[in-house]
Amino acid sequence: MKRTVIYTCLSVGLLLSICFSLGLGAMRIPIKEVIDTLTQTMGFTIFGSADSGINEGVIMMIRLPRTLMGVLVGAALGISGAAIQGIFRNPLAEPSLVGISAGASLMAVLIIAFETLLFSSLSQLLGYYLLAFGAFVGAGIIAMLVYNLSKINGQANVSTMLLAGIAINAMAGALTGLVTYLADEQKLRSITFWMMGSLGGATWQNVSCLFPFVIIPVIGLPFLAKGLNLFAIGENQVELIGLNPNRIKILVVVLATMAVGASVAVSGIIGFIGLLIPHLTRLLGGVDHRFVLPVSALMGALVLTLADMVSRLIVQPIELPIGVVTALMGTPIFLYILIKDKKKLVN
Amino acid sequence: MRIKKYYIVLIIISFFSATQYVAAQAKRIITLSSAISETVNALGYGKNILATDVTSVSPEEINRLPKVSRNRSFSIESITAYRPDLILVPEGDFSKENLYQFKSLGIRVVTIRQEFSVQGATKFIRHIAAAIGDKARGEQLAQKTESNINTTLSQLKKGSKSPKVLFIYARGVGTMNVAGKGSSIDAMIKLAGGKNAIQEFSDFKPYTTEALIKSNPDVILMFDFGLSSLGGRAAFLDLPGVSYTNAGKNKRIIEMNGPLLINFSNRLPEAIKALNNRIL
Repeated sequence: MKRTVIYTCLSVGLLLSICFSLGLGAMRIPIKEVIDTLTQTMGFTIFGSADSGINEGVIMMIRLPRTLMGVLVGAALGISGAAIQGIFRNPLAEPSLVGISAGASLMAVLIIAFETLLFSSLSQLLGYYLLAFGAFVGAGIIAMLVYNLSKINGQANVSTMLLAGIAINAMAGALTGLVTYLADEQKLRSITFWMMGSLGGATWQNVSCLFPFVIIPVIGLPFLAKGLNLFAIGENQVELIGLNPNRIKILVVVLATMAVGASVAVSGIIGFIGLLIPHLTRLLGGVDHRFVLPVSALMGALVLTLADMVSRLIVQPIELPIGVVTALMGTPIFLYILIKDKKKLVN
Repeated sequence: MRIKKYYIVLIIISFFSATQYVAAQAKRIITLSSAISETVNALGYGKNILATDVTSVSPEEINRLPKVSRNRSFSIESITAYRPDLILVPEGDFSKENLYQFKSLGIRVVTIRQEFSVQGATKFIRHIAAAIGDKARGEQLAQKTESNINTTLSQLKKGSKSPKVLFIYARGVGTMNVAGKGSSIDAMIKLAGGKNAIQEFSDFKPYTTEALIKSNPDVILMFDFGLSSLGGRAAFLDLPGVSYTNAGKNKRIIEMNGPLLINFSNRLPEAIKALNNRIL
């Protein structure tokens, strides 16, 4: 009952925030016109005030792809944050904190810098998907590396994991810095984008490129929820029930890094969503992954859409990097988790 | 490979947009660099500029305009909100996605390439004039600028030997870069009768104390805001290593207006003259 209410509230909230995101911006477009422009594509108008000029362009070509990208990236970061926390059995395992996002962005930076030299044949083969694919590979390598580094006697050790994350973030930062010395100014600018994160480059092309990379994990990961629940008790519990823990682990890592990698490839590193969202979800409705995973996707989409709206509207006419907004929202929660865990240890 | 293709497409797009629209003059223009804003203004279209970027600070009537781009960070929608019919942007400042977004909105974007030479300056003026749709005035201004440059160059002060000039781009003590070969400043120093103290690398690279001592410049050149970001002249002379250079010994630290030095358009003669006066 309670969960139905949560699902309904979040869905309505997401719809509302999508509407606001489409209706608000530097261009003042009356809400009637926004609705008509949208319904026009389906062949009817309600208020008869649709505009075929620049307003329609702004709604259909700028705001709509951007909002959809926010929804997709938010859902991706939310659900993969929850899944990765499940597999690490730790609420602090967040894609950007343990270096997975950094792995994705480092790979993307390397591809940008050395594309003409090393990746030209690959680039012809994969075209626009090369960056997304590369980011996915980078994220996957780092996820496996961190997991194996942090494992002590088959248990993922928290402090080792976080320290490994620090090391990998520092290393990725250093390598990115090194690459910037080799890159020319134009490449430098796209490299800065990877480090900052932004939804400003959203076009229908990259939204449709992102779509499968997010939809497959969002649909697939909840099927692994039962396995993740057993993981919470211990890896041997999974075996007892007759499931293969390694298979679950690999599936989760592949699906989660697929979503994170592709998101980083289109929007750069957007931190703290993967940490904040699953935690809020657990606060709302408990730790059952059958609940946490889908709700994290929903809430991630909602929160990132709101964060993007803040970043667009707060310092007009320019934009605040979205990473600033998510970090401002995320760090207090992060500290809250730390303090709560500390109290638990004391008791 | 892809970057190359992108360049070619860019060139083709800017070529077409420059030629295709000659008939219709641009009425609502957004200019996204100081040199572009100053050139459009000099062409007599200053009143058609709706908004600029943060570097467009002169003349005063341009400085008063809203700034919609800050260090190449901007929002498509804020720019679109001015309903421009022409956006003039330095080559490379808009990403492929941005160009695509403006194209799908039906807003004409012309990317302007800047070459740091006398020819580059007149080409820059002609390109902008063609984009606005007033080639005649572009020709006029280009010719005037060229003859002014020639007069200026013939009247330059000449020393016994050309001084070694080191340019430092500073944004506070932690972020200092020096200008290497092929940079705008390198070209400017040469035109003004000096010699760039850095010959080992191209573009801008981070500053180090040892490289400063090794290059031993006769003059150190900075943008005005650069010198003040380091705490002014006295604070700069106290930086490690500065006192070992000729420039430090003779206290020859020069500050100049940034937009003027990198204008490389209608104000090039003025810039050459000013820099020549200061270094010789």
